[in-house]
Amino acid sequence: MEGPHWSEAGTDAARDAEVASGRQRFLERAYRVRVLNRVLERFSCKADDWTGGQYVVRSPNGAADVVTSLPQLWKAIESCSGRSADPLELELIVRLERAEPIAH
Amino acid sequence: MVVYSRLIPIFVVTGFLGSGKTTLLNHMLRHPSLKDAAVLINEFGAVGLDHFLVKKMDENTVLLASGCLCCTIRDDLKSAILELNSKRERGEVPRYKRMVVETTGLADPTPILFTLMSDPVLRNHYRLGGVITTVDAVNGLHQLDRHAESVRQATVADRIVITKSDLVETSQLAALKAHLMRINPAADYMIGRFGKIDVRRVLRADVYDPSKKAAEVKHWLDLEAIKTARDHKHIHDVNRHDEHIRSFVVTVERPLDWTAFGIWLTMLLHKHGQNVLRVKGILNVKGIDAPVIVNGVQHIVHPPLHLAAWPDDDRRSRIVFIVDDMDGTLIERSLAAFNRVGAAAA
Repeated sequence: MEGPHWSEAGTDAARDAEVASGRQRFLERAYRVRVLNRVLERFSCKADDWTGGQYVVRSPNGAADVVTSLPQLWKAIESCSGRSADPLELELIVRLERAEPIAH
Repeated sequence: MVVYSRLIPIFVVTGFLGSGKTTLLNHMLRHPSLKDAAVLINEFGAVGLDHFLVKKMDENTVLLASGCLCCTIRDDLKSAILELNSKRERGEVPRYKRMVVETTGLADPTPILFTLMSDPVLRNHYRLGGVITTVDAVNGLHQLDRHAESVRQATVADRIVITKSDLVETSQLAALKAHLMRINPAADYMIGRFGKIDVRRVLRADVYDPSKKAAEVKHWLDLEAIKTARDHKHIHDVNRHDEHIRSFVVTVERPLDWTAFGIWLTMLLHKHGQNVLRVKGILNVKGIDAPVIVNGVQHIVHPPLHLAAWPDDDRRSRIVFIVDDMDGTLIERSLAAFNRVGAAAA
């Protein structure tokens, strides 16, 4: 069976910890969604956790798309917003430089 | 759960036509470390391989829907490996512990790496051990100038073996090495003489072998070599295939938030994966004492893993990028901005 995407699995020590603690995994996932949504403010789209293994990407007009990993999520964000998902876009960088950090 | 370091490592041997791949392979396969290796080659050349398990594959490339060349599944490679794997499981061939794949000289090796690192079936049994690229000391500079494939072969390499060094003057050898180091400063450079090479050092390219990873990562982070390579003067010529390829190190002073880093790197590779030829680094991750290694080729990233200890006194995250026409300052600023978002304590 294929494992999770590297960005979801964490580092190898963290992977062990996650196996040991379902609660820890839940908290990490919730934190990832909060950080993600801070980035997505630029795109007028939102991501929610879906059963702990997928994301739901929602557009401002209510359309929803379910994806299983971050690489898939960036494609969905581009469809949802009509914008290129580019971390080197200056406006996105400036927004994040001014944004309130997310508590872990 | 699959333990990555226990998967069968695959070493990819690439290099331009006539650069000495088969000669190197023949030499490597006589070494005791590779006596239990299976070998896949694209074509049977004039130099026969003397080894217990050699299989030929036919080119059969399937371009994925994304249309990106580096995200191409090499169906022939996948089928050849799975066929060998079945025979290994049934006891019809010896239980090989490593595999070596030789590419054709005219191939861009990135689809091969993509296939090995992304195919869900292969990933359950195999992992990429390292990429070894041969460059011919006599014709190497000319090939790098004229053939994009040759540049790609050099940029993805963990080891670059300069072959036929006995046929050129020292100054020509030094010029080729300086040129290659500008394209790929994070590779380990080895000089082959009369077809011979230090095989043990070639196999140290396997960063997922627990006994070798510390030395390999230390080599990645030879910042002085990277600086020297960057400062090396070269003739600007927009028609050269490597004119826009550059390397730099992104350094992050504060510990990295793993979540923010994952979001950032997946987004960067989503948008710019074709231009991020290599990314290799050591990360100081918030909340984890041991350093974390990250290692990727274009759109694909190996599973991150830990080193037991830091290789030097520097505790900053340092990531080596080899890119095609990208702005290193902007990449560094972008990473810092994403990391800042995930920086607040609870």
